[in-house]
Amino acid sequence: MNRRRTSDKVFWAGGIVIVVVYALLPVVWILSLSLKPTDEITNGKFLPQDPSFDNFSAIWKDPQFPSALRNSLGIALIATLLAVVLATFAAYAIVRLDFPGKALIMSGALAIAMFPPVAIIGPLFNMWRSLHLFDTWFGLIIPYMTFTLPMAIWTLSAFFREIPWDLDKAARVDGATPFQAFRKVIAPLAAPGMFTSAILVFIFAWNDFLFATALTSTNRARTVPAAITFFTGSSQFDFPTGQIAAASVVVTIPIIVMVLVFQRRIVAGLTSGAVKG
Amino acid sequence: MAQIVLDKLSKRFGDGTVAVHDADFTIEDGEFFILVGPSGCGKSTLLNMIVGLEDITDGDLLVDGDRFNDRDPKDRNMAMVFQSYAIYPHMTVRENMAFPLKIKKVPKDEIESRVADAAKILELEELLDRKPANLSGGQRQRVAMGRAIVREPAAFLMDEPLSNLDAKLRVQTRTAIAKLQQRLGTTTVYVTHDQTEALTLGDRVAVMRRGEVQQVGTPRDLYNEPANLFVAGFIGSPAMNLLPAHMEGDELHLPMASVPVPDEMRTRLRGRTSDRLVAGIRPEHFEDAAFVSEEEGTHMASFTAQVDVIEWMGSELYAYFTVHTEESREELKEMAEDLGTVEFGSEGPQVVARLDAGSQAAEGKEVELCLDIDRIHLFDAETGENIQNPTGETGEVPAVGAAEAATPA
Repeated sequence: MNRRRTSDKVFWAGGIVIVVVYALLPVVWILSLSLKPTDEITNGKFLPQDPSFDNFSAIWKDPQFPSALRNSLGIALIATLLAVVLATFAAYAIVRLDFPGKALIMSGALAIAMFPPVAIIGPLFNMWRSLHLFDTWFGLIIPYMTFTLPMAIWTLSAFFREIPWDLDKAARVDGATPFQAFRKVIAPLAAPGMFTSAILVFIFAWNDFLFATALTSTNRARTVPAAITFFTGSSQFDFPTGQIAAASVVVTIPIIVMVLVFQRRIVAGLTSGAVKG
Repeated sequence: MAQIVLDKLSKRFGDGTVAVHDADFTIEDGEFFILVGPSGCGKSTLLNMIVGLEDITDGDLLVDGDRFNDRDPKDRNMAMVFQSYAIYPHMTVRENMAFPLKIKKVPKDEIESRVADAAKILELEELLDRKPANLSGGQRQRVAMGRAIVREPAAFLMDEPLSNLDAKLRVQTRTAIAKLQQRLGTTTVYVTHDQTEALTLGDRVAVMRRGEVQQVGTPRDLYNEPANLFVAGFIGSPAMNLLPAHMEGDELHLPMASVPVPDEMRTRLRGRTSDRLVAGIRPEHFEDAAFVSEEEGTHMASFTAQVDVIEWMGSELYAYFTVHTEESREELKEMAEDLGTVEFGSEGPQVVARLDAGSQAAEGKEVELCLDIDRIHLFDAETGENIQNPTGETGEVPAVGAAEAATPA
């Protein structure tokens, strides 16, 4: 019995180590590249011989990186906020109200989520130019919101479905308006769902490259993934590998912070104790 | 404090089903009023209509003379205790109880004192800072009650508040609710499917079946003078024995015996009679012949029964036996479905008799039993209407009459 448990442990520990190493190796490689001086980039060694922060100071001196970082943060945060707020209202309505076409809305939303974004890039480019949305924050926020809303609506409606309807009713009888009942009772209970969707929307907006390159042209709205491609080396024949790696490391940090902060809020079983199960 | 008038209230759902049909009665100020019936009879829907969680299709709901039909639930000043308790899981007990007051923007110090008072009444003082997840079922139930009483509402509405508690706690809480209601004197409407709860708690009870109110009355009225077959079968435990019967001249033919129709019964029948009758006899109106004095015996019909099962309860004894009859009443089967009772054995209806604990009746043995003729109810099988009531007027519960008066021979 005991021996089997030990072999179980070894098996699972080994498996976990393999998965973690497999997932983190590229990240470590990027980190190592970002610390290598230019002459070491192609030496094929895993660890930098003479680590330096030259690449990091170089990208901050380049005027496009700080503005791209600002654009990325602003656009991703606004898109997240809008998507989560809209999805929360939509999901609540879909779960709680009985109206015709409910199933159609849900399957329609799913269809949008499956729609390949690259297929609409051409028309969107032309539309955005005539609507003066090209190369603006909102020009990116709108597609990010649109493509993440379905996923957010589905996630949130799953959470709302778990919340006993008696709680809405109790709040209404206790004197709350429908909106108060939603804000004070239902929304706090759906918070884990809202944070889950927020993380997913933020990651989508933060990592997107397609819309960011197609719908921007200057530092006004270009986000980091697009800006990285515009990095130039110190000479025409010098590819800025080190700086790209440094920029990648910098843009990964907000994602890690975001996930760590929000994941603590995603506590399972927040609704336990509401009703006798 | 409120008087609630239900004026021909009806509820029809979108798909055409009628959940409540013409509910028409008045709940007096300060009354403890029970809505009782088997599941699906519309009692919870009716409660939700009173509190405003369901729209009223037809009729008027008047509270202290004001029409409440279109008033938002938040403006009805009624407090509800849900079957699931529906306490807010992200708030502590204190916050749960303060919630309705906070919404009403009651000053902070008043909220505190009212929550403290309610917590004292319900013995929740120790638990005020706990979250619902860390409470037992009974404690959660008390929090739900607490959230209702802090508001000092016009009426309490309770939707099966005890059905999630275990048997012992249910009886304790039942008594606690009765005391609380007496102390606060607030009009209370209480929904339950349990006839024992209905009889023990209610000042008055409305029995519902398939969306229709069958009878409204005090527990004694319902027990002694059930208006129809359904109420007769629903109220009382063990249930009233309902047996096919018919009248032939001066004789009433029951499956176990034919009895002469007494003059009183004939007077009350006022000529109403039918070939298809159902006789209703409460278990306590049987007695072991050995415990019946001669004088009492004059009102009794005796017969011999073969006992199938004995349930000895210490203070009394229930004997189950089967009677054989050619007659059958489809109406009784339909009603058994509504009541959720199951008839075992196809030989004939099963009868339960409540006998003196000293009875020598034994399983598989024959015993001579007496049946109190004066206590027989007669129902029209087709309409279900009670066509003769043995008491005729609201009287004492005759539950213990036969057994107590009996002197051992």
